[in-house]
Amino acid sequence: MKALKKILVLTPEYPPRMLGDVSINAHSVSRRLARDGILTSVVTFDDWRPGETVEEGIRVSRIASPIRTFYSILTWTPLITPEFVRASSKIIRGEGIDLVLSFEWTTGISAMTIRTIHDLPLVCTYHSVECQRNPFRDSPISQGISYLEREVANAAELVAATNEDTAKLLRDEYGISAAKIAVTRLDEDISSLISICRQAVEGHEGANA
Amino acid sequence: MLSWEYPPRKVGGLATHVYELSKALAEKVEIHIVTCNFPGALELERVGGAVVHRINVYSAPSPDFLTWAMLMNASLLRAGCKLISEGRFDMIHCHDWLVAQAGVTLKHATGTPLVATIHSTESGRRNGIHTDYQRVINEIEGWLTYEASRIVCCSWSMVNEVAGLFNVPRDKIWMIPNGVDPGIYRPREIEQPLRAKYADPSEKIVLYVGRLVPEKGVNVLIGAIPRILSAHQNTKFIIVGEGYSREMLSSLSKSLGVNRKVFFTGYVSDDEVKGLLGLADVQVVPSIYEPFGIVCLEAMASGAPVVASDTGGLSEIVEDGVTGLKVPPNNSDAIAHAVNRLLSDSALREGVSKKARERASGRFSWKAIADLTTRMYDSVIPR
Repeated sequence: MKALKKILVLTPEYPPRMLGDVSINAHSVSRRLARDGILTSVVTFDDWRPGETVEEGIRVSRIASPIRTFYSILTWTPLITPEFVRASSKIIRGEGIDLVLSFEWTTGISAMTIRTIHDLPLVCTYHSVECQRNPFRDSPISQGISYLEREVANAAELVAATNEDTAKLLRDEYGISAAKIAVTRLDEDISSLISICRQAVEGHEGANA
Repeated sequence: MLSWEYPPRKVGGLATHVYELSKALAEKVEIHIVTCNFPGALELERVGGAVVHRINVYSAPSPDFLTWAMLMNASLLRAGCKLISEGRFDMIHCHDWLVAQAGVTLKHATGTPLVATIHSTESGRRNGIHTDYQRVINEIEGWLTYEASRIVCCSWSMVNEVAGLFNVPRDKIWMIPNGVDPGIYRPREIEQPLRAKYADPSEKIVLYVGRLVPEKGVNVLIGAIPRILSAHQNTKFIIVGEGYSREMLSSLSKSLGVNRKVFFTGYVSDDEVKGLLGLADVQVVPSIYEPFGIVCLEAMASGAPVVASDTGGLSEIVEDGVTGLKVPPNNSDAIAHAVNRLLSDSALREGVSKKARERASGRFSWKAIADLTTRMYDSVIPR
């Protein structure tokens, strides 16, 4: 049975770039993974600090957007994907990876691409879904984001929701199977997310199976 | 090969280009085309040796075209990933900015070389970059030229435009023209039933075929109509195509008092376009911006005498006074003068028509273009 030894974390934010809880949680999860002896590589977006560093035993690749004009979050997300995939593929080809852990929907297209091309299991985390964040859930932008959230959750082997409300919406609104959703509070219980990751690696039969 | 257009989904000349090029290339290389779906078209089919994969790209809600294009890329990317994970590919070939995101992502994900054909630029289409919307497209075009190992442009005019706009090294750009299949055009004398649909038997026909958008200069042609009618009263102007300028062009023809002589056909089938080319006494290509001008080449291949703007790729296709008449762009008087010359002089019409057919069937055959394209591929990955 395969074991989790090397992990690739995709996150739209990572310290020092902090917009919300995602950055804090991606950082604490990565630190814990590294402390547990898992080779941890993080690929994140940061227009002001592109490059590769090793921080707290974690390899961190920060990528910048190839397109400097911001039009909307729904155009930004696909356009940042090639850079996420470029940096991730370099790591995968160099040292091998057992699992992709993707934080939130903006790294989702990248995560789905890597999963398929490199035949890796994918776990994605959801702190919230679009209808919890946006009161105008019927707007085309909001529907577009919901569409991507659903696609990523569908593609993932396992989904970690950080609260019960989000887990319920993933089941009821997005039709994600309850069997692949787990609730794990990342501010209190990182261990259960790591268990989910181990479970995804052990049960992986091939992304293209 | 990634393209957002492929028949039967046709928006501009891109669909025909990809269709014909892939058919000709399929005799030399195994080729898969990943494109958008279209009502009634098969999801998977083999067309002349090329395998066409039509992907559902309409399930994602989008507030505008740019956002739709980005989400369309996500769908094409997913299909491309699946395809590449199932078999080995030596090259990814993108057509225009609309599929750049999928193409560049596949390049980085798989390590497969990327080449791109730039059929036109946003700056050229819009006469400059004026909004953030256009700026994003312009940046994507520049980024695609940066990421691709080779860039294909269909005319020297486009080579200069792309090299100048995006600082692309000249040795990275290949000029490979568009092509035409002269065999698909019917003899000009058998189109009488179609003529009855559009014009009286005694009327001369002046034809325009293309999108009704500002850069095509249809307003300039309409501006020439009063002067043409003053010399050749018995002339019908057939405007084939659709586009967001249609209402404005219709109003213009009314305000000039020539609307009874102008027939806006809207979209017509390929077969009917071929028939109309066979009927036309003169075909006008009045573009203000034209990277290549496939419609001009098609007219030449069909034997329709051409009046074309002396701009972009048209300047390179038409030899003035030999294979057609060239006029300065955006000049209604010059169009009127050239059309009147052709309508008055049957010997000139016949001479131009004959030379144009000969020119179109030689240098611009799809076989010659596929040969050049495979040489371009070989320059990236020698066989």
